[in-house]
Amino acid sequence: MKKAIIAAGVIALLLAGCTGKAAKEAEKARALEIEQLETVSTQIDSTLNEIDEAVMKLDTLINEL
Amino acid sequence: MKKILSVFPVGLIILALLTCGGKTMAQQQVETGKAKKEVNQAKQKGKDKVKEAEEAAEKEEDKATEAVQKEEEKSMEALQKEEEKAAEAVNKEEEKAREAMNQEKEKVRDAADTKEGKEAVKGRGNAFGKNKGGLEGRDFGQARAEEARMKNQEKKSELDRKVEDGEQRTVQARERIRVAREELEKEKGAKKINDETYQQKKEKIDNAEKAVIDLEEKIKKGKSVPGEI
Repeated sequence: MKKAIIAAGVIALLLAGCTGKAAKEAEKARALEIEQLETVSTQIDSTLNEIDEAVMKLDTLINEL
Repeated sequence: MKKILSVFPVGLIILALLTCGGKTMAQQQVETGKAKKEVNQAKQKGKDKVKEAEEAAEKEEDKATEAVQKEEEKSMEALQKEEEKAAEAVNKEEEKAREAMNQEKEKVRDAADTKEGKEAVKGRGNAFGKNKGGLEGRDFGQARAEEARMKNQEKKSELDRKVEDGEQRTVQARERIRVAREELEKEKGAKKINDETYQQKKEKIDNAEKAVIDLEEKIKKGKSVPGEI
């Protein structure tokens, strides 16, 4: 009986440990995803600005023709 | 005379038979005519019934189609409502999370202003994610990721629009440059302009062409930005 209780306790502890670890890993992956999304957002912002500037410059030069 | 008397009954019988036969034939003809009429009437009735049945079937089909369309419309409306509700719920959660974060930031700033606060704040580290607006850790993370995804999608759509617009502009600009170059060459050929003016105009056209190439490069860069991670 005692052995069974001890074994059950050990299994419960192992399960809890694994679940916690999995949750932490999922959180890490999510944080990484958010970081990547923010990086891409910044990249998009910069590209948008570059396109705007290029369009303005082209408009000016075309109007001068 | 005897012969006549012996033949007379036979003739009578033949006459009677002929008369009866004629009557029967006439009756048969009348009956046949009636039967034909009846058959025609029956055929007409049959055709009418078939037409009615076809009309009824068409009506049934129309009704069924209408019912199916109504069901589809209802289901579409229900889906749209569900989507709107879900979007509203997500927005509310995001707003809550944002408000909570802002409040926390303000609190941290206020506390940091005072000396006591400075001591209290010392060691707390970054307060981001400490107050999760009533959301549990995992849900809070998911909400943040969802928010980042939404923002990313919006920016990507804006970029796509700009890229499309830019492409149209490059096409128009290239056409304008081609026309300008042709006109310049014509003017030069007709000796309407001197070399100096020609060089100036040519330089402007070249600069415009460079600007088109530059814009095309930016557009290419915009196209290479990944849409999803």
